Amino acid sequence: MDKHTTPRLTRAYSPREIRDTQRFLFQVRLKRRLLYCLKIVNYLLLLAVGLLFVYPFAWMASMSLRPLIEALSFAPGLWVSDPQWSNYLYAWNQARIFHYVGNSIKYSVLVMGLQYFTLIPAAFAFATMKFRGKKLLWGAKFLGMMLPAEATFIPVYYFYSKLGLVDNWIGLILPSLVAMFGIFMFKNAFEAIPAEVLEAARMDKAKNRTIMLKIMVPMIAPVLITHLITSFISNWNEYYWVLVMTNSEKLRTLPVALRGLLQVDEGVPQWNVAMAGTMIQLAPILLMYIFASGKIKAAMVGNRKVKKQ
Amino acid sequence: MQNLREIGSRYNGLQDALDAQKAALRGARDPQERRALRRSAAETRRELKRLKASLSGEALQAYRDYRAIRRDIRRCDRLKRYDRVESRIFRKVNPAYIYILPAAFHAVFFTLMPFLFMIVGAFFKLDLVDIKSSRFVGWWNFRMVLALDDEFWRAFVNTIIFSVVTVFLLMVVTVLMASWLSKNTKIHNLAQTMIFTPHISSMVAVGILWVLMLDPQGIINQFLAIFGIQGPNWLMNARTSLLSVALVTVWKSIGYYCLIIIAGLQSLPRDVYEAARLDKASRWTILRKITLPLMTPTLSFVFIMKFINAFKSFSAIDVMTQGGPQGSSMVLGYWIYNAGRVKFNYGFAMVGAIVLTVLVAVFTLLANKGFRKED
Amino acid sequence: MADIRLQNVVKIYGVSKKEKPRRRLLLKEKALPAKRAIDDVTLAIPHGSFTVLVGPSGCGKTTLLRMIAGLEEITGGRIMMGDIDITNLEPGDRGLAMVFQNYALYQHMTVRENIEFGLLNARVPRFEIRERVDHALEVVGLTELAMRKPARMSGGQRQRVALARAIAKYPECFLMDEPLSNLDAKLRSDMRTELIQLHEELKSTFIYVTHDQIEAMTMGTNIVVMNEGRVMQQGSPTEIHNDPNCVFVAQFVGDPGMNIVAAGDYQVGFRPRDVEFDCADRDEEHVVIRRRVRSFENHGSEFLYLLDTPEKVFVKELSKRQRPLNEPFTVRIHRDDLYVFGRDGKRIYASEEVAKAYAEFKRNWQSV
Repeated sequence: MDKHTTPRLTRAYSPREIRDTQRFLFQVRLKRRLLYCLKIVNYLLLLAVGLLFVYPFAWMASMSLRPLIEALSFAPGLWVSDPQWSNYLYAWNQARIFHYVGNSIKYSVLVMGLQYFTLIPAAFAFATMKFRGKKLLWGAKFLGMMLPAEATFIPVYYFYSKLGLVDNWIGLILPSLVAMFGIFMFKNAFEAIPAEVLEAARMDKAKNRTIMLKIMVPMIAPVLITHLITSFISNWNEYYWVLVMTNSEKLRTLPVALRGLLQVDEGVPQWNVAMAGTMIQLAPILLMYIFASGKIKAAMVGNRKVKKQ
Repeated sequence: MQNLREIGSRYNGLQDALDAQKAALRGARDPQERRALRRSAAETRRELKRLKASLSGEALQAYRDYRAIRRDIRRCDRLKRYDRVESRIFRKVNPAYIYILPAAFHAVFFTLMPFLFMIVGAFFKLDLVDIKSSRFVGWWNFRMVLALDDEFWRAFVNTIIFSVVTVFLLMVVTVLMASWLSKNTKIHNLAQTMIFTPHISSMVAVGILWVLMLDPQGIINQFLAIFGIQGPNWLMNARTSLLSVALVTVWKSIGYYCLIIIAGLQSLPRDVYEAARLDKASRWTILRKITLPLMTPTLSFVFIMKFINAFKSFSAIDVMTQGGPQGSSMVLGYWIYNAGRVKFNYGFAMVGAIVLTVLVAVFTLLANKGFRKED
Repeated sequence: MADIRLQNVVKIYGVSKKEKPRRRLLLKEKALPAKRAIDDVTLAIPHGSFTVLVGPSGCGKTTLLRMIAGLEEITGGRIMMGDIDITNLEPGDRGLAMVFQNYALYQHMTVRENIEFGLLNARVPRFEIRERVDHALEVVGLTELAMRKPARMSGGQRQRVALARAIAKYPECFLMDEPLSNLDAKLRSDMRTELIQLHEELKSTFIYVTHDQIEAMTMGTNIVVMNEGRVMQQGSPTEIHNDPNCVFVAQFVGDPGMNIVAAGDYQVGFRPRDVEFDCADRDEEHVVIRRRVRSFENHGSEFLYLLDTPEKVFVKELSKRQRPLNEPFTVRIHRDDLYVFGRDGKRIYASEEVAKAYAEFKRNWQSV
């Protein structure tokens, strides 16, 4: 083809010339001012939407301090002229919230304290060791994650009743101790440690448990904290498992007890007392959240990243 | 200096002698010989004591140091012996089995056995108090539940409706909100923190709260009354009960999924966006051609997780409606609980459990497939 | 003392030990889809030598090192250390210390704890640990930083910690896997000299892996050139440079490598440096080539020219003045500077064949 007949290329990336400088500057200034106003409006809207999610809790706090008559009017205001702290006292003593708070604390502390003795070795084995049946076990654990608790609780309840584990602390905490979620999380964290470091440890004559305890666990300390936070929140809020695996009030935890506050034989429930009880259940987590919201958000959302890798 | 070293060699000499005597004593059988050995060992001990008593100041310190070193060496020897035994054991037995023992127990006891029990139990008229009196009934349970139980089918349909509504609402709302909130100013952060609050609260507390808010005289209806709308009795009305629960669960989890999407948005590689801007891409093009494809994994994760969680929304139903009124808000999870734990109809419950498991499994497998593609 | 000897060592990826690789190898060697990372290597590493394993990336040098360390399973063959068969020993029980490419320090421990860790595991008594750590820190010059954590140290300092960790074990042999590749150029050359000094001080065996032939030539006393899982040549740097036994080694060593041109049934090579410039006197012992400059590289004190020939031929001139592009000039090559290789790449020493190749080369290239 002749050189002269080829079409000229479009100058796609050459800089644009700005002609009318005065007008251009004016436009830019106007644009900037408009954007500033929009920004303020945007911020106000953001806060309004945020309030949509916080206001109910504030309202709940206000409800919990109202006298019963006032509570039944469901006034949307937050101000309480005559705060009835006795509602809390009533809930604590009459509704035996103290008993359930004790159980909740016991349940969470037991699970959180004991789970690492089983989670971390299992995750370690899955991440670094070779053994026969590894894939099989991994598959079984995966199936366990898929299987909804709603589907398996009857067989488990049957086994429990045969072994005397119903209404028993051991039975209550057992399934949480080797929860797949934790193994998954720690396995991924362990696998993220560079292989060279583990090889260096092996050259340093370290045994498996030395590698696990002295090298790997300290290196994943942030993940440990993340898991601690998430597992506290999920254990403190655990409802289904405690509900189906207990028959008596002896072991029931706070969420299950709150459910009971709503069930009254006649008339309306004592809303103010129910709200007080609910506030007690929410308090530890909300307090934690107020003081360490960033950390908790990162922990709860970050999980997913760990999970996906 | 020379003197101190001498103390060391004397101390070590005496200790060596003592060790040799002890070893001999252990080997000796003849009582007379034993007595002699014991006597000489006692003599060596006395001599050590005398040596120590004769020292003072720096020399005593040196004596103590030598003793500490000797003990340290002995300790290390002991540990080495122990290590050797241990490694001999672990050459035969793979130590991994010790590490996975609890996990394996859990898998068998809480997954495999219930799973088998569930499948087998669905063919029996189960009596859990006296398992031996259970009767094999073949497909009878299935026929009863799948063909004759209207309540089950209502629960099934409700589960699907519930899931579709929550997932659809959530996807639309969270994607919009995430793209709005995804910025790192203080106000944006505060808003994110605020919308996240319900997620960390327990479903029970949130449920109770909303029972109050959705009361016929509750805040929601008061609000609607401003516009002259007569709000229904949300939870006690067969038409609105399921929808209300769905809305509450959406409200509770908006924050979580929103933050996940924001995290996904903020972890997108920045250089890609810079390159796109150098390539003169408009905002719309960037959204369509870059953000969406890069966000597909996150979005599909959110989508599928939400679906699976929607199948399992037991507590919300339990707290707010107990499946009522007239089964209008009955979902599968609650139906199983009802059949098993309230009506003691275990065989039926097993059938329901199988259906629920299949439903969850299908979605989990879809999820896995989606993730594998993205890798 | 304890030489390290590798006997017919083979590494095949994708075959587990249980499948009896020996038998399968014999029966259906070709049918295996697996990759032979190390292909029948037999090698003796003398005690006290600074042995450098060098080769292009993916040639198996790191795999070989890791096999010596015990971090990689061996498919076939044996590794002996003196009279002891260490093929199946645990990595920690081989009396070796390794320095890794990315240092592999324990981030959560201080420098002292990093060095102590191996000794504590080996059940060394405390007073001895203290002595060894102090000595190691002194050797690498980090005594002041003993309480610092690796995260707060520079790359060079981390490298030193990794070295100290190895030194404190007083091993029979140091294994180093490209330890300097993460350092910047200046620091790298400093560390190179320090490693050479360290080798002289400690008098133990060093096995050093690198892909950089200059590093190999400057540091090693014993160089092993590898390619595609095989040892091509082993010898002192001078031997490797002046007496390559195959085309691969000739081209791999030197900057740039040897020029190889075809000459009838042979290949003839000469080093870019071994030429005389602007010298057109013809005689029996020399070949004179007259060519244009196609392109050049300025190395500061010397110039590297690519000649306008069908095959790539570089010549190097020690001069500050650049020759103009596309201008012809003459170079003269002495007969003794020519290396003759067969078609298969093997070096040919037989004098009549060398003479034949020389005649052929002269016929093709003599241009004046």
